Amino acid sequence: MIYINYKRERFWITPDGKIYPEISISGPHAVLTDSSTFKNVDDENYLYYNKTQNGYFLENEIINNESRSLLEVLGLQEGVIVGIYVSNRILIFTLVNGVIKSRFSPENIFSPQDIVYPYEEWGIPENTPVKIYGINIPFNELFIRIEQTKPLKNREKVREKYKLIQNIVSIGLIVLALAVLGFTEFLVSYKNSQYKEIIKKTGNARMELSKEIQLRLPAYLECIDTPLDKVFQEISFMENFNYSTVNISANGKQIQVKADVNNPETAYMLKEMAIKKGVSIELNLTQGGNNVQAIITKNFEPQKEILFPDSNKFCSRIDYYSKLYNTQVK
Amino acid sequence: MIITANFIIPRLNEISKITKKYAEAKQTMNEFENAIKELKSYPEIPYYINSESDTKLLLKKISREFVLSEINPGEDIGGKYIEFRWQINPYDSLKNIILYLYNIKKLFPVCYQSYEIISNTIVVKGRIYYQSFHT
Repeated sequence: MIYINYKRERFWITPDGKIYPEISISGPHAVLTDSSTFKNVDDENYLYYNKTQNGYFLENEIINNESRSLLEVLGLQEGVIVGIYVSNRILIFTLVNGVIKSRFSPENIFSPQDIVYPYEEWGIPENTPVKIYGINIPFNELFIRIEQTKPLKNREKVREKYKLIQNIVSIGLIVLALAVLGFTEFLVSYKNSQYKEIIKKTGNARMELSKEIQLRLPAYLECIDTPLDKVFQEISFMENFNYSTVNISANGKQIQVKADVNNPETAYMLKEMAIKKGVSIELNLTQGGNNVQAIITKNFEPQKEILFPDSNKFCSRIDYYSKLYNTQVK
Repeated sequence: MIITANFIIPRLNEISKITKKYAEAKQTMNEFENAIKELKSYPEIPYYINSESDTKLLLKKISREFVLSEINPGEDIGGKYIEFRWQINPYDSLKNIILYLYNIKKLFPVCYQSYEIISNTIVVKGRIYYQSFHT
């Protein structure tokens, strides 16, 4: 079926070419309305549209979701006159520079020879091809074409559909962004609290480590003590010689002795003795060669008093415990 | 999304920083736990320890016999202590000084860290521990 609502004419055309003012329809049909126009703009005011090669074909009325554009069905394009012949009158269209041109003839057109084409008025050549269903193309082919043509889209529905999708996507993105932000904040907060907890635990462990050392304080003190008697034991080989001055400095790791010896002979004997004992010694001549300064350096690892069976192992770990105790965790 | 990314990237960097710090702290914590376990395997040793005021009194007493050149408070893994520097003029024999230092060590939680013996003067640097928060 074809529905015409054009130039104050309003009627239905059935496949047998008859015209009816009203008809109930279902299935594919083509529509043409007064507001039909051919534009190169995407006008928001039109609810229905169909895109063609030259632009948008816009219509503002359809009958149902199966409505097709009559102009599209007719194959409206530049350089061709298209139309339909029905009930002794003719309806023709063409497209000139993107603008639709139409002519609804008066009644009583009985043959193609009676048709006067407005070539001059429309500004098209006289040899423009003419395709008029019902004259040079069988009328029923128009109805086949109606079935083959895609229905007009309800632009509003399309827009609503896309708007809905867009809204869902936007809301989804916002929700996702908020979720990501929330999760990130949660993660920062969780990691911070986790870190604060471990810091607190480490602080407590540090106190406990100190407490365990304090419960064994005599052993700890024995480990870090430098016993004076053992210092002298280490340098006892020096006792057999005379010195004008002797300076001794000793700590838990090293003993250093600076001794001024009155004559070089004694100094060399001292050196011999030191070498025998495996002690590092350096001799420097002073006062024009009459005196000699001996610098003796010895590593010092005194034997500790055994307070429990593993006290040596305990002492060997004291430096590590102290280093651990002084570790700054923040 | 750009705003979100601009906000998230620094936060992610912060998370990465905290995670790294947490891993380091966790490692230290493990070391503490192992060290505590190790220490607990050694027997505890009973000892007598003075309060801070008693320790100061003790140092005063000692100062009658020796010159106390420096007294500083301090703290280490063994607890709180007073660090001292004694100057000893050995009117007595060296053997007696050693004995004296040894006797103090037997009576109080004390350790001698270093000695400087310049001709007739002995300077002893040490620490006396006093009752700390744990004991």
